[in-house]
Amino acid sequence: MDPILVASLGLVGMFALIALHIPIGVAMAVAGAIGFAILGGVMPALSLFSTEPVSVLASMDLAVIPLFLLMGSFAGVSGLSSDIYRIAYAFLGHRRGGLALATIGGCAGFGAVCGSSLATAATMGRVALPEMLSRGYSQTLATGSIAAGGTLGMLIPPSVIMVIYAFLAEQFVITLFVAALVPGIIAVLAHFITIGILVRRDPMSGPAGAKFAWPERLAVLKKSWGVLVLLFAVIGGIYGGVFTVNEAAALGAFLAFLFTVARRKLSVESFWLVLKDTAANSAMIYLIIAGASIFSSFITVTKMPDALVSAIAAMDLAPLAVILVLMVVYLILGSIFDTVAAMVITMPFVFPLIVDLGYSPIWWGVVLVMMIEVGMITPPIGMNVFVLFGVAGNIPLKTIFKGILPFFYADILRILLIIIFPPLTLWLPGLLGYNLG
Amino acid sequence: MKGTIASIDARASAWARGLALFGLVGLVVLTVITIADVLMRWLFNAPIDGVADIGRLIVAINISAFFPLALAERHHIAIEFLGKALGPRIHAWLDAIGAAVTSVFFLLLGWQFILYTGELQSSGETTWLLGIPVAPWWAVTTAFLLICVPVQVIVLLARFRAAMAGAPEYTGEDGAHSVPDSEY
Repeated sequence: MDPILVASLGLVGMFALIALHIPIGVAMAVAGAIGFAILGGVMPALSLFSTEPVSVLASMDLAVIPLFLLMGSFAGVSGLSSDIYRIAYAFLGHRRGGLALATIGGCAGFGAVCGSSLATAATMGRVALPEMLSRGYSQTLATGSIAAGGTLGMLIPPSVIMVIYAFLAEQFVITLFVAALVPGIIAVLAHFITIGILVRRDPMSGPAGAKFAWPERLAVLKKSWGVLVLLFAVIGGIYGGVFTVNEAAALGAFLAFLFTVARRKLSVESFWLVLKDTAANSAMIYLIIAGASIFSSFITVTKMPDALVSAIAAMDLAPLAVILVLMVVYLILGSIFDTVAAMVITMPFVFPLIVDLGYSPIWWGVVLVMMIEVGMITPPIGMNVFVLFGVAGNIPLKTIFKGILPFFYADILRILLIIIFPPLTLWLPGLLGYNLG
Repeated sequence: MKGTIASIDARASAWARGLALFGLVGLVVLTVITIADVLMRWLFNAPIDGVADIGRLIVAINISAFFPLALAERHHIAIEFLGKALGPRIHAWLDAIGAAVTSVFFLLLGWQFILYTGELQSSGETTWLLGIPVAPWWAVTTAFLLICVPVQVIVLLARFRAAMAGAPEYTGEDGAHSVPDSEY
């Protein structure tokens, strides 16, 4: 049978299995193994069930995922998220929309210690939402800023999804982290500007709070020193070249645990919560990566990526046009699939295409994460929205989506900016001498 | 029948939590070894040899120890558009199909890991730096993956029971799984 036809059937089969409620990792593995069996025989296909999962399970690059998840869980339980929010509020709360600005700042900060968008949205939702609503903020601005701010969790390093991308694309994860720094700052600024415009148009949507005097601000900083130490150790350690990512993740998890103990927040209940969070999420992510590796082996054998590259080359499309088409595809995928799933499902086809078009895999990694991140606040799924809906209780989904819309537009503009000007992403890692692929 | 499946399900969850605890302890060991390596490098310019060797072996065991809990807790990413569109009865049957295919997947995974561990045992493969035999470590990983099979079969039974009752399983805030009483 023609390998391209088998690849196409494999792809259709995978989506059919996913539609039948089969977990995405399992669906990818089953579709990949069946396709491989048709082309290369049953026994080689069965052996994929050991070779690929073994390389995933034994990967030290991926070992940072459970460690970052552990750090994020302890950071949440120990109340470090409230500290980040308190610091941001002390410095920004006196401005119109100041609590929303503080929420964005808090999300960026918490994203840096947890690496997950969903955890960031859920945690900041619990901390910031009651505060904003009690101070007269409109429901749309309050929920919109949290849902949009939550997406910063996967863009601000260290980011779990970037670790997965680096593993699948065989890139150096620290290069990705460095490359994401400027786009991350742009993302925070874009959200700030959006809030500024919103409260200018409707000042009652985000009334200004009291201004903190400098001694008060310093007192807040002093009281919240724990989170600053954690941020400095993890981010500073990675960027300063002091630690490898694994070491930073281990140290981060250890410090977050110590803070939890020191603050007397480690109860039997919170311990089981941390265990369940870390274990179940790690297993879920590893299952998807193992499934993706099996599916990827099948797709590689079919040579479909080469055929796709040739077909697109024959169309003589401008590389930028291809990227813009992919942007639309990822917005749709990101709104339907989970972030990790949207990335790993498309990786075997899209990554070779991007490299063939002459783009840097590092630049693409950052752009890809940003596109999927926006998908997390796009209907009909928009996982962040549903997480916030669960936390918010009685705020209708319609209101949350309405609140997100201005941030969605800002995100699209921001992604276009990063696409049109690749140096925004590649300048810093290039300056620091990292290999850009 | 309902009570039996629910009770086995609860017992499987408890066992899975115990295994996950084992995995977490392993993760803590990995953390401590890594930090000790950093400190030795910093303070005495004497890094611990073979941290990566040990890390690779430990992490595979840790993650495999987490799988039964993820399965028992029904913690995975699945898209449920079709079920939601076609009503609770079909939703429940699709959930059962998903659980059945997942059971087969873990059976194949366990089988292939047995073969892989056997190959490691007969070849006497060791880690690169410390020369630790790797087969016993992968045997533990394989055992944990095999435990996933009965755990997932219990999930399958619960989902099949829910499908027979005509409504998808309900997962409560406490993580308990049941078919809503009204459906019985």
